[in-house]
Amino acid sequence: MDGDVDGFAELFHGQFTTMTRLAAALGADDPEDVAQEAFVRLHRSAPRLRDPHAAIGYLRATVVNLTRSRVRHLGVVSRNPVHAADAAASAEQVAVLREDTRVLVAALGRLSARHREALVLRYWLDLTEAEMAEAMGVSRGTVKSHVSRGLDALTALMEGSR
Amino acid sequence: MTDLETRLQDALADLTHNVQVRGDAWQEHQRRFAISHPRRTPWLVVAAAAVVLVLGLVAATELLDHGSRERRPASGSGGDPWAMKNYLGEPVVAETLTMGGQPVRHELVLTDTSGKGPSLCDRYVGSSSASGGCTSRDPAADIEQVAFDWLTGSQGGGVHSVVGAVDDRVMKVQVWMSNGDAVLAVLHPTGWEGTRMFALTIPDTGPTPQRVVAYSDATGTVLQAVDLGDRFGSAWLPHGSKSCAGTVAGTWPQPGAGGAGDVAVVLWSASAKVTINGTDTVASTCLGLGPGALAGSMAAAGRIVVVTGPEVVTVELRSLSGATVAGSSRKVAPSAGSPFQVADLPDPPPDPAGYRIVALDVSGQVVDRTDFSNVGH
Repeated sequence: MDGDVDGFAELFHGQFTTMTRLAAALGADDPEDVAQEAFVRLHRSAPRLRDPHAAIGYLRATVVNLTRSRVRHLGVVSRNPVHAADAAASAEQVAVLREDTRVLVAALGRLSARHREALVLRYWLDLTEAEMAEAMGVSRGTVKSHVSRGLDALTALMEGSR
Repeated sequence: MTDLETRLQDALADLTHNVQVRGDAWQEHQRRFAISHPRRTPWLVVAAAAVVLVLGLVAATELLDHGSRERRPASGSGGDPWAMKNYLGEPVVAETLTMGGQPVRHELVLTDTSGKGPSLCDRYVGSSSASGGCTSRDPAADIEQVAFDWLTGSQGGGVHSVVGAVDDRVMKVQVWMSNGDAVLAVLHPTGWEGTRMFALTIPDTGPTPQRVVAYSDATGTVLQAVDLGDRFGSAWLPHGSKSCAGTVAGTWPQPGAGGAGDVAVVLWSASAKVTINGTDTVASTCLGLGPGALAGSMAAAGRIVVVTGPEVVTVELRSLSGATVAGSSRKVAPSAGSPFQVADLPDPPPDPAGYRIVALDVSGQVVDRTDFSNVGH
């Protein structure tokens, strides 16, 4: 690690915003905190830095896991289900979005964590099925299933909101 | 690609585009990494302890040898901010803490490793590891409105930490916590141009540092106030959203404080729900609170309710020509459980030219102002 400080700094500056935005898209109430935690964990895992692609995959998987845990925790501790939904798509972020985007993001926030992850990784990060499988910790077949079912669920939610 | 997929792509692009990160994210990372508990193998722990011990002995020897060393910025031969040659003043132990059951020193020093200007560096030094981060001088540090020439914060590892340094006009720095408590920061000389540095580390189990205020005298003449949630991002504070959601932080008026019985304010870290009971109407609004001394305001039922920072003493209305509206001056009253204060002002008589709401500190100096047209109705 000490011999590759510059490499890590470069990785951090190149990926920190993306990882923060990934956490936000997945519904984290504190996306920057999630991204920071992911980088600290990566920083402790020096061998992964030898391959930048492996490091980015590790970061994505860590952000996905941390956000899933965080959103689940918020859902458990919240006494009011509305607040849990708020956490999944924070009011601050939604408030500045266009109306059609706001409706879609709100619907996205009501999907299961796995469906939301699949759709975000596919349609925002444009990952391959293999990359998505690594980030989500599932098989490629399961990824395809989550994308397909996630779109179906999103369609149903959008129709229900009209 | 279907229409839904296209819209989803656009929506996610919109959503993520709105997410910005702190300018000092890298320093924040360094600090988090420093105070995290690395899962090192035993031989690495031993090696690290040995290195720290050796470095400690070397540093101690150099300190003894350099009691009268040159205090100008180093020439830029650079590298380690904790190398003696780069110091602009003596390092200090700002805090002694216990982290993970181990004693830890929190050290500060002003250094110049590049010859491009001084950086404020801090590090947590434990028995087996020592590392930290540095922050650059605020590019606006030379203007009058800026007293915090360096200011950075970190969260993680079970603590919130604020590190900063102020210019030579500052006599005291007060850190206001999210529960309304105030902590006086201990200021240490940096050894450079009369600036002084401070650090405050607070366990996550306690209140969060929410606002820092630099004063030019003991009575409370304000030089600069900084909202840390605004500076470091909404994740810094608990319940930092502007939507009046989550666990309530504070209320106004304080229990037993009297005040206007028909005005009630419920406070979160960055929002306030103001309710005004009029003669035959009830007005209630959620205000997103800003970082200024005048954090938010609302007018209804013939009155104006103003939420301020803790450094404000008086709020009044002034015409655009600068004259105080007779009878409009009110002292602010603290809330219970938050650093915010509240004042209840009368609605001004009609004036086509308009009014301003003005916040004053103890010396009568204007610390913030806003046009009445900006007040929520």
